[in-house]
Amino acid sequence: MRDYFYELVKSTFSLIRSSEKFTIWFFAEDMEYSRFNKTKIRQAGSVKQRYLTLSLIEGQKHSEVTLGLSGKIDKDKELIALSLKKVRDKILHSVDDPYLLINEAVQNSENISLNTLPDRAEIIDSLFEEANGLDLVGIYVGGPIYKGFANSFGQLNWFHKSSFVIDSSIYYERDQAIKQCYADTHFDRNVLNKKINEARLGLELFLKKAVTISPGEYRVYLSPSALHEIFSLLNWGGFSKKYLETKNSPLRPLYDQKKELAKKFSLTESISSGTGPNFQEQGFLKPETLPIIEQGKLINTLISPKTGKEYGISHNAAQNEESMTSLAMRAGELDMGEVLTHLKDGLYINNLWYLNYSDRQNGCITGLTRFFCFVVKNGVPTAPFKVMRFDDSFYNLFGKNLLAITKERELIIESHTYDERSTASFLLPGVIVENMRFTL
Amino acid sequence: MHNELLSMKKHADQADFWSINIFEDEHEEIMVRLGIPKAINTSFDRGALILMQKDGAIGYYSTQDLSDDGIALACKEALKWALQFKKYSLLNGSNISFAAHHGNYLGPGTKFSAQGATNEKFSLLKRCDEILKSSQYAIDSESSLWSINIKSQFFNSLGSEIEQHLSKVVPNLSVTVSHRGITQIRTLGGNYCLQGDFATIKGLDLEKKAGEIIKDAVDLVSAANCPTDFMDIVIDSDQMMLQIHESIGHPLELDRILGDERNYAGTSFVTLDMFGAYQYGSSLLNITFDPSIKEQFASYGFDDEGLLATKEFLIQDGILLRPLGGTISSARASMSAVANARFSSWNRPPIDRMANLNLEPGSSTFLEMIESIKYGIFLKSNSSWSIDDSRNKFQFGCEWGQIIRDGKLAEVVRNPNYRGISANFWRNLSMVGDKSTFKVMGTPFCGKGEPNQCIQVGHASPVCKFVNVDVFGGE
Repeated sequence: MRDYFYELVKSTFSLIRSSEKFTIWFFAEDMEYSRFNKTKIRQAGSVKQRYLTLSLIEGQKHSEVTLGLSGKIDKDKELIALSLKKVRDKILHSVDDPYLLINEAVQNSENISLNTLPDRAEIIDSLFEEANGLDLVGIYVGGPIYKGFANSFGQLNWFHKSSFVIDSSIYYERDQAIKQCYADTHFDRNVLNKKINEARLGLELFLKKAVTISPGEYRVYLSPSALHEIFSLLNWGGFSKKYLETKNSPLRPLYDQKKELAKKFSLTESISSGTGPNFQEQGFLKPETLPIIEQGKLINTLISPKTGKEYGISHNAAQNEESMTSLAMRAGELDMGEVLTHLKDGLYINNLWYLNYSDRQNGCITGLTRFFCFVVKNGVPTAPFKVMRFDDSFYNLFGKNLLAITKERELIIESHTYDERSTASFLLPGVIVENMRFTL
Repeated sequence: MHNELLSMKKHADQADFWSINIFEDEHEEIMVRLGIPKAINTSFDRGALILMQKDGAIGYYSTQDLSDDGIALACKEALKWALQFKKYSLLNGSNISFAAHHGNYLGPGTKFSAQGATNEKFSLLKRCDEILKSSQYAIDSESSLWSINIKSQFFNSLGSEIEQHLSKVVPNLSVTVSHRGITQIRTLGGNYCLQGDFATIKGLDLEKKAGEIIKDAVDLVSAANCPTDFMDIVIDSDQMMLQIHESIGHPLELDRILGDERNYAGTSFVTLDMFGAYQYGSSLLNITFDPSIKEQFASYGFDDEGLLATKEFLIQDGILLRPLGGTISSARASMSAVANARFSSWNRPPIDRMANLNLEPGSSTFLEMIESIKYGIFLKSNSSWSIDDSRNKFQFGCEWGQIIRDGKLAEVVRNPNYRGISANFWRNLSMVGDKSTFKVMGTPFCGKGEPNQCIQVGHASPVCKFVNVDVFGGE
C-alpha cells in the first residue's frame, strides 16, 4: 500500500505546474466486520476502501478534492489527472485565503506495525465459544488502517497499523447488559476469556430486581467508560482555540478564569501514548504531549495551522477540527479495588449514553445512564437501577464535587467507524463525584 | 447491458441469490465565514456493495474496483463469508423474499445545467454573510451550501434492474452573537435540506432568512433565561422534525425492536405485540413513511434492497400500525415490509432507516393554537438532543423560545429546554397545525449501525401543540 501511495504522489508531482504547490492526505483501510445479535451473525463482510484528498495551491488560492480510488494504479493516476483539471477550475473562482499556512519544513516519518492479527475465523470462533449460552450483541472489526501525507516540498509521512475491536454487550434482559470493549493490535484469547467471565459474574447482579431512583443529587462513581462519553462530548469543540475565541466552547468560562476546576484534574493530549498517526492533514507533526488542563487551569488549547494564522498566534499542529486524538486524564490516588468502599452509599455508573449540552455556554451537560449501573449501600452493590437522566455542569463534576480519582487508568480505543475506522484513543481513570444531579 | 451486471452474471453463479448496488456520489461544499470565502471542497466516490447468499447465509463485500477482476474477487470473498460462518447465521436467507423490479427514478434538479455557477453561489453566500454579521454583537458567522449528486444502480439475480439519480442541497446560515456576557447561536437549522438544485436555493430567499436570523440572535442575547414550569407548548415545524425523528422514527425501526442495535444505537420501548393496537399518541397523530413528496430530502423510488417505495401509514389516528422494517427485517418478524432498507454508501450494508417520516397536517391554524394557551411557550429550532437507548426519556433544547401569555405571543426567552417520556408525550398532542403551517425539511446527519452509518433523512410536519410539558432554561 505504501508503494502504491508513493507512486500516486510521484505521478502527481509530474502533473503539477511550476507555479503550483500541493498536499496529499491519503486514508485507506481493509476492514473485515461481523455484526452479532443473540450470539449469531446478523451481517458480515469486507470493505476495501482507498481515498486521497488533493489540495492544490496557487499563491494564496487553493481548492481540494477527495477522490475514491479503485486501487488500480493506472486508473487512479488517470483519475487524479482528470480531477486536477477540475480543481484548477475551482481555483479560478477562489479568492486569496488569508489563513492558508503551508508546511515548508520537510519532516518525513514512517510508523509501520506489522500485522499480528490471526485469521478472522480464529477471533470469531473464539468469541462465539466463550459467549456460548449468553445473549451477545455487537461487532467485530479488524484489519489494517493506512494514512499518508505528501506535499510538493517532498515531505512524505506514512502510518500503517493493523488492529481489531470487539465492541459488544452481553444482555440479561431488556436494557440490562454488561458492555465491554476489547481492542488491540494482537489477539489474546485469554484476555477475551477473562472479560467474558467477568461479564458472567456481573450478570448475577441483574438477578436482583431493578429499582427506580428518584430525581435528586447522588454520590456517584463514574467508570472510565462513563468518562469516555463525557470527554467525547467535551472534545466536540471544547478544547478548540477557534471555538473558545468565538465563545462556542463550554470551557470559555475556564478560559476567562470565571469558573474553576479541581486542582487534582489534569488533561493532556498525549500523542506518544495514543494509537493514531503523529501528523495532521497539512503535514505538521504533532508534539508528543501537550498539557491542556493542568491542576484545574486551562493552560493550552488546540490550535490548527489555519486558526493560528487567523488569530496571529503559533499553532500546535492540531487537526482541522481541533479536537484531541489521544486524550489522557491524569491518574489519582484511589485504588480501583477500593471504589465501592470509598463510594459507600451512592450510584455506581459504568456507562453513560447520548450526552449533549443543556447550556453549552455554561458547560451544562445532560445524558443518561445505560447498561450496567447499580445502587451501592454501605459499600455493597444492592440492585441495578433503571435508566436515569442527569443534567449537571462540567464545572461541578470536575470542580468542587470531584472527590477522588483512581490510580488505575483504562486505554479506551475509539470504536467509531463512521466513514472510516477511528484511530483516536482515551486514557482514563474512574472518578468519585458527589452531588451529581439527576432529573428524570 | 452494464459491465458490472455482466460481471455479476459471470462470477456470482455459485450463489443461491446475489445483488449488487453501485453507488456514486459527488459533493461540493462552498462556505463564507465572517466575509471570507473558504476554499472549495469537492469529492467524488464510486463503489459497489455485493451480496452473496448461499445455503441461507449472507456475505457482503464492498469495493471501489468495479473492473471484471474486482467484481470476481468481491463475489468470491462475499461467498466465502457466507459459507465460512453459516453455522452462526441469524438469518435464514431462504425465507427472505427479495423483490424483482425494473425502474428508473429521477429526482428534481438532476439536470446538470441547473446546478449553478460557482461564482453565483459565492455571491449569494457573501450577501447572506454580510447580513448575518451586520450587528455589532455578531462575533462569528457562516453561510454555506453543500450540494450532493447521487447516482445508483441496483441489480439482483431475480432480474431487478433499477437506476436512480438524486440531487440534494443543504444550505446553512449560522451566527454567534455575544453581548454583556451572554452568547447565543441562531441558525437556519435543518429547515431547507431538500432535493433540487441551485434554482431551489434561489427560491428560498436566503437573504431574507439571514435577516430574520440575526434579528432573532440579537433579541436572544438581551432576553431572560427561560422560566421553569410545567406548561403548554407550541412547537414549530423545525423542532417537530427532531421530535418525530427521535421519539417516533427511531423507536419504530424494526432492527432496533429485533435487538440488532442494542450494543450501539439502542433498543426500543416498542415491542412486536404493540403493532395494530397500541395507542402511541392522541387521535390527532398520523405518521407516514412518505417517499412521494419529490422535493423532500429522502425521497426515492426504490430502497437499497430494491423494494419499490410507497407511502405507508405507520401511526393512524394515534394507533401504532406498522414498523419501519425493510425486506430482511420484516421477513424475520413475519410482517409486511416498508421500503426503508438503506445504506450510507457502497461500503456499508443496508439496515432499517427512516427515509421521509412525516406528521400529517391537521386542522388548526397557528393563531388558534396560540390563542388556546393562557400561559405557555412557543419553541423553534433545535439546539440540543438527548434520548435514552429505549427512545423514551428525552430532553431537547431549542435556539428560540417565546412566552405565550393570555393567548398572545409575548417576550422572547433564551436557552429553552423541555423533557418528557415518549410514551406519554405524544398522548398530550392536543392540536395539529393545518397545511399553512406544514414544512418539508430534513437532516443530513442520522447516525446508526455497526459499522457506523450516517444517513440523510427527511421530515415534514405542521406546527403542533402539547399540553403540560416540563420546560426549563439554562444555568
